[in-house]
Amino acid sequence: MQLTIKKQASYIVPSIAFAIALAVFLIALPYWSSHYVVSLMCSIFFYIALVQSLNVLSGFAGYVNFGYVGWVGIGSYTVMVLLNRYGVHWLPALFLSGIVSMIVGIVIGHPLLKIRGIYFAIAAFTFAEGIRFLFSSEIMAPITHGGEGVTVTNHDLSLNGQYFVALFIALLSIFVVYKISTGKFGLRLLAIKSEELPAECLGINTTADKIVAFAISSFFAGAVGGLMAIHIFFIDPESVFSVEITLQAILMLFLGGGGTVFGPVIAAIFLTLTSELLWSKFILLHAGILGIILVFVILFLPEGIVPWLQDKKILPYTRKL
Amino acid sequence: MPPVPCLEVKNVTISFGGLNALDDFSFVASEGEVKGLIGPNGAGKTTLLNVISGVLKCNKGQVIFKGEDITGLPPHRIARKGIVRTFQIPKLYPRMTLWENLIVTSRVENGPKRAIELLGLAGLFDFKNEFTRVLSYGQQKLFSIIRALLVNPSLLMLDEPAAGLNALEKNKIMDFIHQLNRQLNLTFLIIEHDMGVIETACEGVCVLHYGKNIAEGTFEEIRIEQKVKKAYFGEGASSSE
Repeated sequence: MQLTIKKQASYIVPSIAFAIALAVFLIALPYWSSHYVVSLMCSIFFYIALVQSLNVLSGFAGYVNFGYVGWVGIGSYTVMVLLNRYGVHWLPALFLSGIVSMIVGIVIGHPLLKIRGIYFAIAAFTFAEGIRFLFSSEIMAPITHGGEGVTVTNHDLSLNGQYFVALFIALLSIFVVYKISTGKFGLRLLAIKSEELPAECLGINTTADKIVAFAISSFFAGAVGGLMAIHIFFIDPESVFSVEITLQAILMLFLGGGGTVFGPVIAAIFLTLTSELLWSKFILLHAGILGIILVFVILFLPEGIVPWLQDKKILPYTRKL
Repeated sequence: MPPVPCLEVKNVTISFGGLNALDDFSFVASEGEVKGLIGPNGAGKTTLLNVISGVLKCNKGQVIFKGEDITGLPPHRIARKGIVRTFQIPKLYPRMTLWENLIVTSRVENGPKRAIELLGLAGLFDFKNEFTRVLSYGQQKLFSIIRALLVNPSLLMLDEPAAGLNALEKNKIMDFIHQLNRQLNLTFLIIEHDMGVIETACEGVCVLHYGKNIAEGTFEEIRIEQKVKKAYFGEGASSSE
C-alpha cells in the first residue's frame, strides 16, 4: 500500500510541475512571439480540436467521415452571416456555428449512419462536395457570395484573442474525448466500431449512440470552422470546404490512433508542424509527402502510434473503468 | 402445473426473394426449459434466431415473449426485454479488455460483482485485464456466454455453442449451461449440430427443415422420427434401417 502511494506521488509531482510549466508557456507565448508563431499555434489548436472531434465519430465509433470538412465549412459560413449581417458578438456566434453544424449533423446523420464502411465514407464525401457546390452556386449567392468569397469582419477578436479561444476549444475537445474514453459511452462506441450487430443484440441502442457521437463531432467541427473563418479573414467555398482539411484530420487520427485520447493530439501537433515546414520549403511536394506518410502509417501502424506503443508495453493501457 | 410459455413463435414466415427461409413456423419454449433447435444446413435455424432477436423482420407471424408481442422491435429493445443471443463466431470486442467487454453491456444488478463471479466460474478471472485475443477459441465462446448473461436475460439463445470445440471444452460449456439453468432458472434455446450436446443438454428438441417445424419432442422421440431421418439422410433413410 505504502509502495503504491509512493509510486503515485513520484508521478504526481513531475506531472503537476509539467502542467504548470506548460500552462505558463501557453499563456505567455502570444505576448512575446511574432504573429506568424501565434498564427501557427492557432492552426495547431484548430487541428487538435478537429482531430479530436473526428475521433469521437471515426476513432471511437469507427465511422470514418470523409465529408468532415462539410461541417467545418457550415460553421465558417454561419459565423460569417451572424457577424457580417446580424452583428452578433463573436462568442455567441461561435457557439451558434457549432449548434448549426450539430443540427445538420443530426439531420444528415440519421440516414447516413445506416450505412457502413466505404459506403458511409463515400456518402459523407458526396455530402460535403454537394454543400460546397451549393454554397458556390448562384442560388445561395445572396448569402454566401458564391465562388467569389467574402471577408469576415465586424468583430473585435484580436489575434491573441483568437489564440486563447482556439486554445480553449482545443482543451475542451481533449477534455470531452477524455470523458468519453473513460466512460461507458466511449466503450459503447468502441463496441459499435468492432462488432455493431452483436453490440445491438446485447442491448446497445447503436443508432442513438452514433447520432450523439455525430452531434458532438459536428458541434466541434462547426465551432472550429467558425473560429477559422475569423482567423483566416477571407472565406470562399474552395478554402473552407477544402478536402485537404478532411484528409489532414483523418491522417492525424490514423497516425495518432483512433479511440485514444492523446494519440490524435500528438499527431496533430507533429503533422501541423511538418506540414508547415514542407509547405514553406517544398510547396510542390507537400501533398505528395503527406500522402507517403499516410501510406506508411496504414501499412506499418494500422492502429496508430499510441495503440502500437501500448501493445509494445511502452505506454500503459490507461482507460480505467 | 402446466409449463408456462416463455417464448412463443407463431406462424412466422420470412422469405428472401422467392425462398421461404421460414415457412409458417411455430414453436413454444417453456420457462426454465433447455430447448434444442436442430436441422440440416440451410434449414433456417439462424434465420429463426435472427427473427426472434429482431435482426430480421418477418413477413408474417408473431413472436410472443412472456405474453408480450415483440415482433418487429429493434434488437436492442428485445435484448433489454430479456432475450439475449450469442453468435456462431464469438464476436468479442478486440480492443477492449475482458472486463470492459463485460461492463459495457452489463444490465444486471451489482454488475461488477456478478462479472467477477462469472469470470471465476468460467476460470477466466486471471485474464480480466487482458485483451480478448489472449483467449483460446473455446474460452472465447465461453466468454461470449458470460457477456450475454450480464445483459440479464431470461431467455438465452446460443448459436452453435459447441462448434469448433474439443471434447473437454464441449463438456465445460454444457456443464456451464446446466449450472445456469438450475441456479437461475434460465430458459435456453440452443442451435447445435453436435447431437451429443443436444442429447445431454436439451430437454426438448425442435427439428427444422426447409423453414418448417417437422418434428418436436424429446431427443429419444426425435431420433426415431421418420421425417427427421428423411431430412438428414434423404428419402432412402427409412427403408435402409
